[in-house]
Amino acid sequence: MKKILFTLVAAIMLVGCTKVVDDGKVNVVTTVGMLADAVENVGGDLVNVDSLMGPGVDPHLYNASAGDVKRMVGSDVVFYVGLHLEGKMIDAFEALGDKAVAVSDGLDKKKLINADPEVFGGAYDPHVWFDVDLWSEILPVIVDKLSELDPENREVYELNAKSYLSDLDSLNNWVLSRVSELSPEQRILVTAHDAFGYFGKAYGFEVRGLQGISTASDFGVKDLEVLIDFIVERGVKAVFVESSVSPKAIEALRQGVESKKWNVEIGGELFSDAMGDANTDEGTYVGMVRHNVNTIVNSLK
Amino acid sequence: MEFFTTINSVYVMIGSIALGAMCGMLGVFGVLRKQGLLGDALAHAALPGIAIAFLIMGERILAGLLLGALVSGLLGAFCIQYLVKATKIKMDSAMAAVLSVFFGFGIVLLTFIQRLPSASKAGLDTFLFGQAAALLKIDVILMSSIFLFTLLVVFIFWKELKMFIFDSSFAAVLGFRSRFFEILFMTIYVLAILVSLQAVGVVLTAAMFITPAAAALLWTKRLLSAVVLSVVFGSISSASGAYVSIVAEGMPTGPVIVMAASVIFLFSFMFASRGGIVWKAIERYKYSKKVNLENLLAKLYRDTESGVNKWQRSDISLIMLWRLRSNGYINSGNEITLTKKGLVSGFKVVQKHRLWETYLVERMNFSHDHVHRDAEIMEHLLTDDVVEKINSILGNPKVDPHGKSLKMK
Amino acid sequence: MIIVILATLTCALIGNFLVLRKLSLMGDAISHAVLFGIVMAFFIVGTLHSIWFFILSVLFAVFLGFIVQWIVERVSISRESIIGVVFTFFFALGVLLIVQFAGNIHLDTHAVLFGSVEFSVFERFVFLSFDLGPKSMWTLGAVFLLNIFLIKLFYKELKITTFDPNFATSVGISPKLIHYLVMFLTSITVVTAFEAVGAILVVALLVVPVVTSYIFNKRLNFMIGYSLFFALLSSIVGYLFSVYFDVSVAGAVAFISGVILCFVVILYKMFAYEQTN
Repeated sequence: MKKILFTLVAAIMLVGCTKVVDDGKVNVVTTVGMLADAVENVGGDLVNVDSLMGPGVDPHLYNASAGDVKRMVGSDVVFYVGLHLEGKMIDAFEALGDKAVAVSDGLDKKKLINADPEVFGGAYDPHVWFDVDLWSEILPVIVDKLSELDPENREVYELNAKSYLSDLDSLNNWVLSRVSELSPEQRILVTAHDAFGYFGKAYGFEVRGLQGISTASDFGVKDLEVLIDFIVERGVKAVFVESSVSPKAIEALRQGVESKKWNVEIGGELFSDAMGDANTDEGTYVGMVRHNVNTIVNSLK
Repeated sequence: MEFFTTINSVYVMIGSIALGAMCGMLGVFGVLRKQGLLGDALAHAALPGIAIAFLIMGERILAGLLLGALVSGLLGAFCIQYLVKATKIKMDSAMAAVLSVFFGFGIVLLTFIQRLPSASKAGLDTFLFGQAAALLKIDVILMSSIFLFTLLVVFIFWKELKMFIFDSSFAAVLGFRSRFFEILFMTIYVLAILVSLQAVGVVLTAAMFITPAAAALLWTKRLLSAVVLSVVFGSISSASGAYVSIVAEGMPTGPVIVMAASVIFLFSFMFASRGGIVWKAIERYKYSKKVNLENLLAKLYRDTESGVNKWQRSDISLIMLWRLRSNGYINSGNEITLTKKGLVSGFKVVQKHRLWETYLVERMNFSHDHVHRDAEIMEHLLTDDVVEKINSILGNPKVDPHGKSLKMK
Repeated sequence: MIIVILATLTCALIGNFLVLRKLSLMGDAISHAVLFGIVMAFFIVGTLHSIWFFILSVLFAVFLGFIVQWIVERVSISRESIIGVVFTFFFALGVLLIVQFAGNIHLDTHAVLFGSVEFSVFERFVFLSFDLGPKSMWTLGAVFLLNIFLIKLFYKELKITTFDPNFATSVGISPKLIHYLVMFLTSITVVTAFEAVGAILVVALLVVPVVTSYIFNKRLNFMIGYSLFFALLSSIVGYLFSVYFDVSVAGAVAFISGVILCFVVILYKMFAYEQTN
């Protein structure tokens, strides 16, 4: 009886293996949408990009599905951010060996934000894509890996990367110019989570979140009041919601501020760990950044 | 008040007290029906409803999601009840089963949704659960209303609810509409749970429906007192928790309230009248005190049988001297003598000892060298009535198996 | 997937004793309360990836079972309520500690302890540079064997203490010790399974197949046997389901186990009438 079961199981496992698309293109699997966008821009027509986490999927809250494994195993390369962003999948990446590439490897560690290095030996904030300039530094990693797999097209990749890089450069400049429309005192970003550290650092914003970036984090009334006082004192005009947080927290914040005779708006939704709908502007990295910055600047002016 | 610097602290304080009261009251019924953890179960069971609501609406509209959660939660509660009624599955297993199956289904739906191209689906599972520090006016109103409504229902139907909780089979025999109360209670309970979930999240909900009630049940077994006490405990925990989170930074309101409630539980556990360890320890201590005193009295009496009537102060410890004196068993002076009362009390202990030995030997066929140990214990436990009975059963014996007298000199 | 099958079988096996001893909600309780254990481990070890998480979590889970039992013995409140009191306390404490001391750390408590079936196939057990297969297969396999071994060894004691603790004491078997045995096996099984397949599935597996078999079984042997059968069935069908619809494996297996339960309940109700006639 047991033998039959065993063979049955083995058969199922074998059947479960996918046939990989073999059209001469490089098969890439990425984790977060921002990364997929980058790879698409570098690879262009030469790659098939399959993104595990589509629009609106928060990598912290991501639940794996059965097909993900097949996709990863069957691909030529898996790009992920690293720095523990895709926490649950670390072991998978390690097991994939060379096939899995952390794009954050290409970043200079000194440029990264380190939370409390003395206390915990340093755990980096992984939300690196909010700093456009920093983000563009992942491109060489992508180029190198793609070229390794597809050496003939190395020049194409390098060219694409260059072009995308210049897009990102202009984006960065654009951000800088938009941001300069705000006076330094106005550059305060208040959100529910603490995810915009890199944004703040790169573009001169003071960033305040209601609770830490840990998944189990929570806040107390005093913490809320401290933030309320901060908003009132500094005359912050708008606070921002992130898609994955209960709107109640922000609403409580707003009402608290109101009770102190100050008005703060909900400045709009920011994309924090995920991007917008596919086929829309916000569904691309550039579009997402634009949306965020426009939302922020317009509300704070 | 200096203390309430923002409107938030007011809402949180009032809201959490209302929550504590509401949960405390319903919690007693829940715990007695072994459904204390229904809060946790429903929080998990609501997931598929949320996912389906999202799929139908295509967007994240709060009201719709809440409705989905409500339907799914009620369905889950119904399934639990059905399982318990229809099979021999127990309440806790039913809850665990429904919890995990529903939740599993919810996850299945979520992973399916993940693949869809729309962007507003992030964090559907956590989106619905609020945080205690973010209580708003609407929450306060909602929770107070439910509390008052429940209070009303409980007040009106007190007798019936009591019967329903404690003896539903008996009630059914009387042709009593226990079905009706079943549904009534479950509906209110589930509603309260869901309101609490969306206001303060899973863990606080689970805790507040159980811990204050459990603590109250440690103090009393009577339903009315338990409910009142539970409401008090619930409110105090919430108030203290809210207070701490209002004055100190880095003290998330929900967890702190749970801490407060747990402290009350701990305190109750240690001191409360029935199961409390402290109480038991006190009882043990009182018992050993009694034993020591009686042993001393017995010894003194036996001494008088050998003709000794006086004892030196140094023969007896200070504490025992004090105890003997305060009970009126001795006359103190430079030398100690027994009072009449002391003599009689001493005799009683000795009599019990010897009588028991007699009983064991004559009626139970023990040999007389096996009975001493037993009698050492029983001499402190036998009451006067029992001694009389034994005396008459044995036909008023004059001596025990060792030849010692059973009558007082 | 072998991992899923092993997980279901192991959990169902020990689950029998949990359900019968009114400890069904222990799995859920452990999955929440273990947050505290993780935080402690994190403070001691300081990194996010270490064997200590596993060890301390197991120890903590045993400790949890111990506390619950200790309290239950001294009060007349139902066991599941005590489980609730205790686990909410530890979970709240865990959150407090995180907020106070580790607010800025990207401590994804889920990632630390809870794996997912889909990815656990990647963590390999490499010995002397031989890839012996997924690590979870080995850990679960080991735990499964441990369970079988200890349960077989103490079968009589387990049976007696579960159904008649008073009688057990009179024949010289200590229900307390056996309880600790059960808690130990549960803790080790649960924590290992968490790492391999995540929390939801564990809670479901401990209870649902067992309960399905409990409905129509009177004898322990049969109950265990059928529970294993249902567990196996759930895992195979569930796995196929998840592959076909491309959804979470764990969720699917949990869900299917529930569907099977439904069928059995319906069948039982249909045939129960006949039996009483």
